[in-house]
Amino acid sequence: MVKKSKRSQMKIQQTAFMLIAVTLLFVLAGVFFLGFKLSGLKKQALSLEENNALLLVSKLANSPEFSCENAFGTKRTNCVDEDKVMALKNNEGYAGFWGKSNIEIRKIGSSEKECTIANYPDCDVIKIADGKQGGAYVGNFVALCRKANVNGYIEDKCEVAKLLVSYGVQNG
Amino acid sequence: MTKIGKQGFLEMSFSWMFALIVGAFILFLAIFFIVKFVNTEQTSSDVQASKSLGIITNPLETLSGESKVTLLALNSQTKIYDSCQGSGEFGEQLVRVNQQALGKYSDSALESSFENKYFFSESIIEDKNFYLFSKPFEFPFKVADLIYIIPQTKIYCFVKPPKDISDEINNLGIKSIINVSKQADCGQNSIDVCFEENCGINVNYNLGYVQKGSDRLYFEGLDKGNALMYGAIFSEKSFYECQVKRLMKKTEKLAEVYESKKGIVQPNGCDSNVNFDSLKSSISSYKDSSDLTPMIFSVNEIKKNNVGVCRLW
Repeated sequence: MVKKSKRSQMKIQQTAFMLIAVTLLFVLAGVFFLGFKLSGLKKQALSLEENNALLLVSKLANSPEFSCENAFGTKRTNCVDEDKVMALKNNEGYAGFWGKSNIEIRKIGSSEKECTIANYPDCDVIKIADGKQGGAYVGNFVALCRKANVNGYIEDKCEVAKLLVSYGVQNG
Repeated sequence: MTKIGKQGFLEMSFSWMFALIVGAFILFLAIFFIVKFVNTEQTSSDVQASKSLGIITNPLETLSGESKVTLLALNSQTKIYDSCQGSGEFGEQLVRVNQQALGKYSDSALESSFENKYFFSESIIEDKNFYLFSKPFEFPFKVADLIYIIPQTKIYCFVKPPKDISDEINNLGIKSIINVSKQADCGQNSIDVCFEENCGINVNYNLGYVQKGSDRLYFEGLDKGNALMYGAIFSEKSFYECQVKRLMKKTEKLAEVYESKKGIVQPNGCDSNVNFDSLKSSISSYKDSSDLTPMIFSVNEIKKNNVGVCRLW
């Protein structure tokens, strides 16, 4: 009788261990699988963001908020109106209009002096949209044009600049 | 002897029962997770497709007076749900995509939203390939690019369109839009759009409206308002009105930007005669597309004053 009870207890213990082992195996497999899938999804999301940034940076210079239109003679592509961009920088309504990307324009071979209404045009970096996205940047070379007063005459002044759009990690 | 036999039978039975219960449990879990996984994959694929729709339309950015077209070819039969949300600073373009897998459409309800996109289409369109055709909306400065989404298998038959419209359609080479001289030349399943005769969709080009049954959708703008005219032809009234409202919001914001620009260039001795007050006041009282026609006077006035070295755009 004692022998039989011991054997039954052993059997129940075996079953319990087996159940725990099987459950653990499935949990571990599930965790690995989820981790693998999540990293895949993150990669897909990052690749979408990168594509978006690449295409956004190529079209942004010709968008109504940035483009020179006919303000500097004939219509031209990849020409950014610096005066308009400064006006845009100070328009709070545009926060978030281009998603979470940071957008900035840097004059080539210049300093890090950020433009404000007070120091414009003696500055080199215009930060237009300060989104929540840090990480990598994609850029596109543009002509950055503005109206300047030279010896009492209004002239068009154009410089080479780089239009940058960020993508990737969200900071907040 | 009988006792031993019974015990043996019971032992076998317990193992079998254990195997059956655990096996059934494992099978149930496997099937449950596979179904969940397939649904999640479909939702992820749908969301990716709707996000991609926003991304691939980026190169459709046009210059003034220009039109662009591209063919969006998808892997499977797809339903695109296009909707518009008019509240907020710029309103939002909402897009939901459901793709077909194993003969059945996915049921994901996740939408992608874009503040800087203006799509015009019927609220639900279904096909494997879609034409994306874009035109700039100018009022009087360029406000945005309007993107029209047309299923490749759907045929719009334009009956006696004005020359500039027929030339544009011919140059773009969109097979879903055909130009004919009389309605009888349209196919049986086509959507007829008449510019002089009377049919399903009637366009009064001179007075600037599109009549669809009892609904009248007004269009206006530079270039005779052609950009909005296409929008009115390809979309339903409520959707069209919401998108035009969003465009008016953007026009107001851009007017603010140009006003600030005016202030920025003025210290350089660059004065502009453009005055946006009348346009801004018309936009603030804007209700629907019938308000566009009276606004064209201020639009033309602004355009007329934007001249010289210090022109704003």
